[in-house]
Amino acid sequence: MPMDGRPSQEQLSVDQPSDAELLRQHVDGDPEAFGQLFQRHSARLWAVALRTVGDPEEAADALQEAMISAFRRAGDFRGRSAVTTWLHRIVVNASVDRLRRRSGRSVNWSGDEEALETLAARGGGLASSTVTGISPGSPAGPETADSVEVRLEVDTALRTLPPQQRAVLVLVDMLGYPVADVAEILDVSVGTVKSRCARGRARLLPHLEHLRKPGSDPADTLSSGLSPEEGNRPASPNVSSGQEGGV
Amino acid sequence: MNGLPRHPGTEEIAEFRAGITDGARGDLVAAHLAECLDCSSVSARLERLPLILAAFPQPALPASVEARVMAALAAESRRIAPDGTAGRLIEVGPASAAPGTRLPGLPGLPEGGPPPWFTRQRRILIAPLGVLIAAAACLLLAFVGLRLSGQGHPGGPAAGGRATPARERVSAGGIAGPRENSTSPVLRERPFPVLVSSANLQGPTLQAQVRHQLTVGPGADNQVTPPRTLVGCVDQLTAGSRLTLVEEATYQSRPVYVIATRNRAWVVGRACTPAHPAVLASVALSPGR
Repeated sequence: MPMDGRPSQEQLSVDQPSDAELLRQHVDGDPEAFGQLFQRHSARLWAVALRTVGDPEEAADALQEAMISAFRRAGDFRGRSAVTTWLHRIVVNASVDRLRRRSGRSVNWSGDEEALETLAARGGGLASSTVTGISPGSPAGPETADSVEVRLEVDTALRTLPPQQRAVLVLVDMLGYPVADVAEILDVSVGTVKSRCARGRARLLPHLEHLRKPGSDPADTLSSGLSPEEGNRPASPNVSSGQEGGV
Repeated sequence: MNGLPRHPGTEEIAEFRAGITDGARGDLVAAHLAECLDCSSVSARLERLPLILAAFPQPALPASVEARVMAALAAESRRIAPDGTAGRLIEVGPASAAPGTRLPGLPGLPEGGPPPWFTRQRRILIAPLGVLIAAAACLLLAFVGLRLSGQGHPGGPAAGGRATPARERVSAGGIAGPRENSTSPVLRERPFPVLVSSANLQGPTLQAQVRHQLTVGPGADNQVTPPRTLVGCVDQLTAGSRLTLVEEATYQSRPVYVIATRNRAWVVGRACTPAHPAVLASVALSPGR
């Protein structure tokens, strides 16, 4: 499975073992093999955990739990999917598990600047990494105040979604995984992934339609130029592309 | 309404856009969207929503988190190592963690599967039950043998008398992980020298600097014996992997220790302890990284 965000097996130099070989070495007792496997994919797994859970501390806990769980269950891996798919599945499950456990709690942003800064520090003020992963999305970089605010609003909106919908939107829309890959990660059908995406987007729309894509024209909001009430007739939506497109 | 009794909701429009509204219903929604300004607006906004979500930069993995996970994995490896499989077989609780880290319960399995702790617990419960059944069978056979032979022959069949130990049964059940040749905390018994150098390492070039030191030597002035806390810290981080460098240096003008194995180097504060490794940075040294 071509999982974006990791070097493909072809990209690995010939003297580097494949993911499956590393896992086998781990099961055979090599004390360093699993660590190498984790480090190979750590950037993407972290992104999945953080975006799904939405809190750095909890994401770190989820990632750690997931890796320990994978470490212990490596012997159960039967190779029916790629090793990365398996690792992603365990991380997603750990993250969703955390979301479910904390479902009674929620983070409310009152709107005051101090609270915003606190949330920003929790969400994005972590030390920079020395690990660089290949990402289909934008590379990590310094966040502007605008982008921090947008991210916080998106995080807050994502918290309104059921965990499974949130996980799907994070994987498909935020991290750019193909729908088929996400279906494999979550062990559900492609149709289920599409359905969760659709429902999640529908629920997010009222919360996020005032936002604009970071770096785009300030007038380029989701709703700008599209509201009939403002007298702007929208361009005709290409509905057929919606039917034929991915999700 | 183009055949629709009312405007489709946002969710239905989203489902249509996702390609999961088939057949006649899909045709009706398409026709409606082609003519209804409000609904086509909703559709257009839905189309742009993923662009907003995709615009976020991928979060960087903090070195502290990576070091923490690596330390937890090392602790897990070490926990298993001394007795081979024995250590892991009776563990049914949460995974062990590096000291100072929070680690609640294990995550659930994918939908439809039992959680790992359940499987393990069940195995551990079943194993003693098997022993009891085997022992009862042995006693029964011995009793029957006595009655038939009239002699005091105390033993039953070997297989029945010597029930498979629970540990072996659980082991045969295939709990994952290394079974031998794992790491062991040998460093305390065999202290390593700490090279003292004047190198001032920098974040962006850390990997290259450490690799260079490993290639040509750190240019150390002398060696010192490591303090006990550093030995524990090194053990915690490396899990007994072969050391290639332990060095007193500075990192961005801050006094640090540099600890390296074949695959990874850590920069830790001088206050590094096993419980608080105080990792400031960590880089991979594996080929191709």
